Amino acid sequence: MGMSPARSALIEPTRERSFSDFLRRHEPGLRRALVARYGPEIGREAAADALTYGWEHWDRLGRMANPAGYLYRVGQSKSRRFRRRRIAFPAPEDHGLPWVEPALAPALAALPARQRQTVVLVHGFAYTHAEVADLLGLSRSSVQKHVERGLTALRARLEVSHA
Amino acid sequence: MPDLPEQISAYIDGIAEPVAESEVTEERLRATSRIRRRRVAGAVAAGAAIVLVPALLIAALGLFAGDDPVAAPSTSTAATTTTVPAETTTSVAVNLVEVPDVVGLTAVDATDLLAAAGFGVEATGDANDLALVSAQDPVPGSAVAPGATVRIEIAPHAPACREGWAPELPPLGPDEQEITVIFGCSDEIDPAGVPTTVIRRVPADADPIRATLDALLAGPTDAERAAGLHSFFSAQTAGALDSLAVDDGLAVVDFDDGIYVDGASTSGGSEIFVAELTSNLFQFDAIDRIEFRVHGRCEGFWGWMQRECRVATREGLVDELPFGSCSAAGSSHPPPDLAVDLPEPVRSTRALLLSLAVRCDLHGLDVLAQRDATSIVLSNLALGDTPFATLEADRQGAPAVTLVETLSHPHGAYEGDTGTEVYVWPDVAVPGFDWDTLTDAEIADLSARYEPGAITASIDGGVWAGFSVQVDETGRWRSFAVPLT
Repeated sequence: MGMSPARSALIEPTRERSFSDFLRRHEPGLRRALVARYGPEIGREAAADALTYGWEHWDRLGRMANPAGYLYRVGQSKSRRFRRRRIAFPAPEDHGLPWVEPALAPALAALPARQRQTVVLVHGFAYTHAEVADLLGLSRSSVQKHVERGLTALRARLEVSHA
Repeated sequence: MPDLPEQISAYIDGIAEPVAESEVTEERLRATSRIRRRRVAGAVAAGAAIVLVPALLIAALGLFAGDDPVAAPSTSTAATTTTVPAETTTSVAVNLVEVPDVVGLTAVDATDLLAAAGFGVEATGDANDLALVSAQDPVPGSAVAPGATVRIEIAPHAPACREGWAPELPPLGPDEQEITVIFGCSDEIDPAGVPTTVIRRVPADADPIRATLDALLAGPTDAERAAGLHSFFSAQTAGALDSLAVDDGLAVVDFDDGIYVDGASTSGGSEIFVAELTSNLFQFDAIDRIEFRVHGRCEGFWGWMQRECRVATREGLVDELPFGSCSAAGSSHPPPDLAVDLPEPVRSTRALLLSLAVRCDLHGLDVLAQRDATSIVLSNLALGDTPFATLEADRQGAPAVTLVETLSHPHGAYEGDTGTEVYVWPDVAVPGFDWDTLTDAEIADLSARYEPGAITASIDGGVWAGFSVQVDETGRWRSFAVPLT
C-alpha cells in the first residue's frame, strides 16, 4: 500500500515554506485525529482552531520538528471550549455513505477515545504505529496496545450487530 | 461491502469536511484566544455595570430633556461629559462623552480605565500583562456616545526578563551554594515561552535538587515578577513538596494539597505548570524520568488536570506504565466487578486498591495504608511504613498481585466492634464462618475456589488462614493480612 500524501507529510522532516503548504499537507491528519477523538462537530472545530493557532504562531511552529503533533495537542486544548457539547458520531447514511455499515458509528463511539483514534489512523488511514505515536504523543507500544484492543472490541461489536 | 478499514476511512472523512484555509481567520483567532477573550470580556462585564447607571440616568433625564436639556447634569466621573442637543428634530438630548487617552498604558490598565469610564473595549495584538497600547480608535478627546466601543492596538513589549535580566549578587559565602531556578518570562499562554533563570543561595549542605524544587514552589520574588518573570508558583505553593526521591534516574515527586493552584488545571495552564516543574528538575543529570504525585497518588496530580497519569521524560510526557514492574504487572485488567451491591465508599476503595495494585503503584498503596491506619500483616518481617514497596523490592512476597486476587473473590460482611459494617474479601474470611461443620462437598467447593492449602489450614485452625482484605462502610481500608492462627 502506498503512503498517502497526508500520511507521509506527518513525519517527513520537510519544512513547509508557508503556512498554506503546511495546511494542505497536514490538515487531513490533524482533522481525522481530532474527529476520531471528539466526533465530527467538536473535532472539526478543534482542528480549525488548532490550525488558526498554527497560522498565528507560524514563525515558531515552522521551525519545529513535528508541528502537526504540536497542533494536535493545541487542538485538544481548544476542544475544551466545546466541553458542554456531546461527543456524537452520526449515522453514515446521513452523510451520503449508505454503503458503510450502519453499526460502525455506534461501535466507534463506544470505543475508548484512545482506541478509537489509533484504530482509525492505523486501520482507516494506513498510518504506521510510529506515525501515530508522533502525532498523538504516545509511545509506540501504547499505540500497538490501543490498536489491538480497539480492533478486537470493534470487530466484536460489529459481529454482535450482525448476529 | 468494502472491508472495515476502507469503511472507517470513508466514514471519518465523510462526516467532517476538510478545514479550508479561508476558515483560518482573525475572527476565529479572537474567538478562541483565551487571553484576549478574558481581557475583553472582563472589560465589557465590568463596563456594563458602570454604564448601566449612566444609561438609566440618561433615559430618565430624557423625560425632561425637552424642557431643559442644558440642565442635565454630568453623569460620569471618569470622563468629561458634554451634553448637546440632538441633531434630529426630536426633543431628546444626546449625552456625548470624551474618550480618554490610553496610548502608552499597559493593556490591563487601559482596559480597566476604559471600562471604568463606561466604554466597551476591543483589543487587538499581543495582550500580555506587560504589553502597551500603541494606538486607539477613536482617538483621545473624541466625543462619542456612552458605552461606545474603543478599539485599542496592543504592541508587543519586551519585559526586562527577555533582555538578559540578571541582578548582581553579593559574593558567595563559604556556607552557601548557588542553585538555578527556571521561571517563565511574561504570561503568554505558550508552553514554549521564553524561560528565565534566577539564582538562589541555599546552605552548602542542602540537596540541590530538593532546594531547587522548594525554590520553584516559592515562586518569583516581587522584584522578579516586576521584571516580567512569571510562574504558577507563589507563596501559596511554598512548602507543597511532601517528598522527593531520586533513584536510578527516576525522580518521584510527591506534593500535598498546596500544589493545587488556581489556573494550573486548565488545558493551557497545565502545560506550563508541568513544564515549569520538568524544566527545573531536568537541569540535573541524575534525573531522566519524573513521576508526579499528590498524597502518593499519580491520579492526585494528573487527575486534577483532567489528564491520565504520565511519566515526564526529557523527550516529553509518555503514558508508559508509570510505576515499573511488580508482581501484579501482568494483571492488566482489574477483575470483573463482583461487588455491585457494595456501598459507594466501599466500592470506591476497592476500585482504588485494584487500580493502584495493577499499576504497581506500591508507594500509593503504602501511602493509602498509612492514611487509613490499615493493619498490614504480610510476614514476620519488620516492614515499617512501606510494606508493599519493601516486600516487592526484596522479592520476599507478592503483595500487589495477592491484593488483586483477594479482591477478585466474592465478599462477605459483618458488624464490627463499633457497630460499623465491615466488608471482607474473600467471603469465607468473615469472622464466625463455621469451619467445623463443613460437609465434604462444601470443602471440595471451597478448595476449588480458593487455595486448597488455605482451606485445610483453616479447617485445622477454625479460622480463615489465607489472605484477606477488609474495608469498612466509610471506605476506610482496615486490613490486608494473613490472619495468624
